[in-house]
Amino acid sequence: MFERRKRSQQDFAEELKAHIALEADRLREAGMSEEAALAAARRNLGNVAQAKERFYEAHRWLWLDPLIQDLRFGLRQLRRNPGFTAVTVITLALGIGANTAIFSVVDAVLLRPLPYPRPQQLVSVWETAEQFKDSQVSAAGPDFLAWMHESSVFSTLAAGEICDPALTGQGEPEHLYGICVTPDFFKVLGVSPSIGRALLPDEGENAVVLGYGLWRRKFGGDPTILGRAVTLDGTRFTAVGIMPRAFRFPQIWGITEPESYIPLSLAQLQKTEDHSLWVIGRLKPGATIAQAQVQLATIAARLAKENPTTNAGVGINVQPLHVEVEQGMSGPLVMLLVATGFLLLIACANVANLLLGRASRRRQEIALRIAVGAHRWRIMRQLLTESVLLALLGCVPGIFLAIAGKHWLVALSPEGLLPQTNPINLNLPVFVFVVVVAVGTGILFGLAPALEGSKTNLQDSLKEGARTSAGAGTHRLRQVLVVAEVALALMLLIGSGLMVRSMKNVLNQSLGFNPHHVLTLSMTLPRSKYPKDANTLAFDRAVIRRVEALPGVRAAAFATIVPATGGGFGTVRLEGQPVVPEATGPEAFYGYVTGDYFRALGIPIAEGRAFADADYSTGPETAVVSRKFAETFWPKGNPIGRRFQIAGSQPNNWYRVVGVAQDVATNPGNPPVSEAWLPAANRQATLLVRTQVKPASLTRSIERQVWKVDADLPIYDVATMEQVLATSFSGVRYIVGLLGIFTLIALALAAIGIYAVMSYFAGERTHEIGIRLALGAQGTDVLMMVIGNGIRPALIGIGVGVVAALGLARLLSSMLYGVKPTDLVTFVAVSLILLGVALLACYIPARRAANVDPMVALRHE
Amino acid sequence: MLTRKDTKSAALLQGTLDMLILRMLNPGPNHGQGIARAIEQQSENVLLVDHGALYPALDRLETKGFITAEWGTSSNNRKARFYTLTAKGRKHLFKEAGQWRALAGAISRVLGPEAAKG
Repeated sequence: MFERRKRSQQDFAEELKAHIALEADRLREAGMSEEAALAAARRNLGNVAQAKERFYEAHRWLWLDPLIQDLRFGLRQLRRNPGFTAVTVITLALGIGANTAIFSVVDAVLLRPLPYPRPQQLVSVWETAEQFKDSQVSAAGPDFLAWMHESSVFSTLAAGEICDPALTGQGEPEHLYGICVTPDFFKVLGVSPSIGRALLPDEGENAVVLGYGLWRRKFGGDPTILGRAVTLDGTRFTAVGIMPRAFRFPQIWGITEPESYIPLSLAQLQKTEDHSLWVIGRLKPGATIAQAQVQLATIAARLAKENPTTNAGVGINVQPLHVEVEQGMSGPLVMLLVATGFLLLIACANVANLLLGRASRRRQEIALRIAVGAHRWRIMRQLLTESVLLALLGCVPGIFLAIAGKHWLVALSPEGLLPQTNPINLNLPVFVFVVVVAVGTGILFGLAPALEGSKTNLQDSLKEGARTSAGAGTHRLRQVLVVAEVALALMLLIGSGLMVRSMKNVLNQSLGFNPHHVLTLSMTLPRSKYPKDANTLAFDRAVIRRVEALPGVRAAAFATIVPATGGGFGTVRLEGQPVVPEATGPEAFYGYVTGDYFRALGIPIAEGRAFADADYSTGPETAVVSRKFAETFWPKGNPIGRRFQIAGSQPNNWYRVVGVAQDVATNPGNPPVSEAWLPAANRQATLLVRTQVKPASLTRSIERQVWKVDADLPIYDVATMEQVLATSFSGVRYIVGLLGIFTLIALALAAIGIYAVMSYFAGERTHEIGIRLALGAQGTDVLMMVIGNGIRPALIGIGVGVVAALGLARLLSSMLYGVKPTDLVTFVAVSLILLGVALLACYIPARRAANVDPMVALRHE
Repeated sequence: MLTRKDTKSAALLQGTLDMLILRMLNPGPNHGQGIARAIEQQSENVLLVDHGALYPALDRLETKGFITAEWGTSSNNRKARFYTLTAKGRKHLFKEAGQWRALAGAISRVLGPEAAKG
């Protein structure tokens, strides 16, 4: 149909003219006069206008015409009011941009399925302890084997744990962030190396698959590395495969991208009782998680009966791998999405208000059009088209904002916080979302003015003085919009306020130690070089002696438990108590320390003493416990001299308490926990160095001293204690920071909205104000009157917002720390702030109105 | 198609007009006014063409590719848009004309010789 449009109406008109001329010629030849011939010719042609119309109609999609007309008119209107257009476009761009940026994150993290074949079949399996209903633990080897052999609901099951060997012989020794996995691991995920092969079930112990990043970085991307030897922890491994570049590890188990995959021997799993395995599995087609849960629970029950010492009370929790990968980000992300949703609603309300104001000004024009025969619906359609056009215009900068926003969202996010198993980018669903949101907002805020605009009272509107009479309906509607804006802004403010208070509680928690001037360096000694504990202790002592001899160093110690980086924990059994099956009794954190640990971290000893050299000579028999530990286990009486056991510690001796230390925030953001420190050396430990000078300045010297003891030892995770703490809080700061930004923007928009409406209404009452002033009212009286009227919708909005917030804040409670969702202080403070902002927004136009010259005002129409 | 109330002319169907137009173009190219005139002449003024309805028909035929159009000059030096029959149009014409003649013959036979007097 479109090709025919090549022939213009002009062309057709000419053809008709030619026709008439020719016909007139013929009639003249037949004897008619000039005018008669022309007249007759025209008559013969029939209704020219109709012919032209028929031609026109045959060549167009008729419904498109009014639309194009509306669009042209709308664009012209927008061009004529650049200020209005700019404000609305910016407002919309902010709302749409924020929403889209957050939504792209939500889409990648929460909505998109994992990038593996049939991801809905993937699950992770945890063990649970009857006593601790909310927490889950990693699996024990024999339990995993039992599941593998006895369950029928999985097509494959695999286990893994962190294995971080030291890579040597390839430039500087490097500590690898790798995992040990049972051979079916690759099958579970449905991935395989792009070069070489995956690990085989009957693989010897010395094969390794390398991660793509490591391969490129350390081996120069050389494909001939396959089959060659790679030295890990002093042992020769053969590289058998390289993972594909596009492969994304599911970001579970605290790992972003493993650098090495080493086989975990099933035979060895049978022997260890440690709960150290992370398990993932792929369900058979048609099997459900519920079925898996039931089956595994049955197996667990059997194990509990057969091995009560180790398995009593041990249960199962199966959950979709997807949930695992989200890493608890679903709450905060949804909260942010809701916040940006509110922001968009406020933006829409603002634009609606502006449009309503404009519709009032165009009242005369609209009345005229209706008077000459325009259909009301046509007017509505035109106004709606203008609104959608405006929304789409706002879309364009909105998308740019979204792209920039998404970039900063990801770039500024603390490492590992946003799971990027699915890369976060703006893709088709996000784009569709944007367009839907934009058109939706266009209709949403265009509806109000469109409905209002078409309901004009013709008589009144056509009259000259029509400008002053905004219909009562419009007035009411604008006030309702203000109420809505204020309520939404209040809810956002309360949400932010609660989160900020919660964050402050987390950050201000007493740490229990002195984090300043402490440097941490992590090392893992290879078993091959340090087969016995005595070797490790010797290493530790040598390093400590050397490091403490450095100028500027106050104390040095090794520890496996470091604040904000965690440590081991196990069930505690007190002397004189009956034997309690593992994983069902009260637990405590514990760690091994060598050297002057308490002095290095600045932890005061409250009772008793710290460790001395003698404590290290035999396998640990003494312990220092935290105050919480002492209070939990020996609430009455002196803890010094008492004995206890901790399951999972090596060796599983009875430890005698020799000292009590102040509570330390091992898990910042949470209340102090029971902790015990044992004097022993451990192959994997962190060196803590308290310095007099800036800790970072001593890094190289300390590392050199370490290498003097063992030249091949890679040192990793070097950071000051302050950095470590900052990292652990960075997630909270990030989320709360984002929420704060959105809230401030929303608040600004709400303020602008109130100001705009107030200006308009104050302007409308200029005439009336003039009369009042002329009759003797004071400026302040007028001020009070205008503000009084204007503040009412804001007050109602605050009221509505408070009620709504009381209901909705409960949803935040899982993310709050030390603050109730109905915290009075927050509610009151926020309400006052919003009231202040509203008063300010009302005051300015009110002052302008009150200061007007009465003579001018009286003449104002 | 009728616009003159005082004439008892036959009402023709749309498709028939198309066919007549094509027929008029068979001898050679012509412009709109010329085609209308030709139909009137050849039918001895029985068929009176509404010149206004002519153009949508021409438009239709042009869309279907039965005729092509070009601006040219008429015999008395007027600018006019000339239509030419295409091969496709000629084929269509013969098909339609054949069908029409068959139909007309059949009706004639059914009505019998008396109808000719009426």
